[in-house]
Amino acid sequence: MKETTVRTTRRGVRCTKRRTGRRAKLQPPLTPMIDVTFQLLIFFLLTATFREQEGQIPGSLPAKGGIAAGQTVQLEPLFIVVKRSGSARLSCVYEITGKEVAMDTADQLYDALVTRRRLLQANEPVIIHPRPNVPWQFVIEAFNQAVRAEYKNIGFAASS
Amino acid sequence: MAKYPASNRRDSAGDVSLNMTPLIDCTFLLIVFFILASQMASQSLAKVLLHRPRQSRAIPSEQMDTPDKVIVNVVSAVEGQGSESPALLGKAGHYQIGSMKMPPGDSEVMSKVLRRLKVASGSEKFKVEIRADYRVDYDQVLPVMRAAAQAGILRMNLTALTDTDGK
Repeated sequence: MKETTVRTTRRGVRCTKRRTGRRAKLQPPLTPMIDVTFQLLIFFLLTATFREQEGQIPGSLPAKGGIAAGQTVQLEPLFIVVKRSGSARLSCVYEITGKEVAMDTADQLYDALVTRRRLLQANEPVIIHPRPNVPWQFVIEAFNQAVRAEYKNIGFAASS
Repeated sequence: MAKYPASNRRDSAGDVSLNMTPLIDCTFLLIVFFILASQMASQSLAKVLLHRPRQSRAIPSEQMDTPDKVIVNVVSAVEGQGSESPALLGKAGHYQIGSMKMPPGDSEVMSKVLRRLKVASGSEKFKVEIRADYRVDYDQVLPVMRAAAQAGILRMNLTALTDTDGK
């Protein structure tokens, strides 16, 4: 059933409006907002830098005397000395107790550590002794190879 | 008998439109998530390049069961600079604990901060995580270890990248 309303405008003109039952939808234009929103989303997706998976290698802090802090040692420790082999920054070698030849790759160090551990049949403590000018990546590498060779008690030398 | 008049049926058929409101809601939520996540991630983890050792034995951080820890970032001096100057390559730019930055070599201040954090945690298993850029020299990281030892912290973790194949 149609109803008719009569209202007066500011100029005093009477006008009629017919209500048909369906109210006209008043809605702000959403298209520009969606455009901007998608642009923001694409910007953040493109500029986001995804982190690589990080992990932790457990170890002991150095204490005075060169033995890992908080641990008593009955066996003679195995020293891994890390030092530069030349003037180039990224060329370092590893030396371990009882082995005259220096090793220049991580796999050689691992093989030497595993051989020694099997030979001695003891889990001696390992002390990593890097020289001060050795890049940190070689220190981490030596530490990781000792863990990989299943040594349990790994620490750092107190003095560099 | 038809329920609706013919004219109404024609209008509704011609007025098909997608409801965009849930889509915009989701999009805004994603944007807010990215903004907040990037801010929170950058607070405790500084931008450093980590080394991936051969056959890495690093345990993924989420599998470590130690909430009582402090992360010490050792940021390279060349980080954020356009070129890698050979003179700065092995140097640390600063140390960072949370949002607090410290100049390199200042192990006294760091030792006090670490001791305060250890006391606040009240845990004997308190650990320090050393998250150092692989380009810095060992003598730039050693003050962090000394400061931690002075603060009475016995254990540490070294941060490295895990193997990509998960081994």
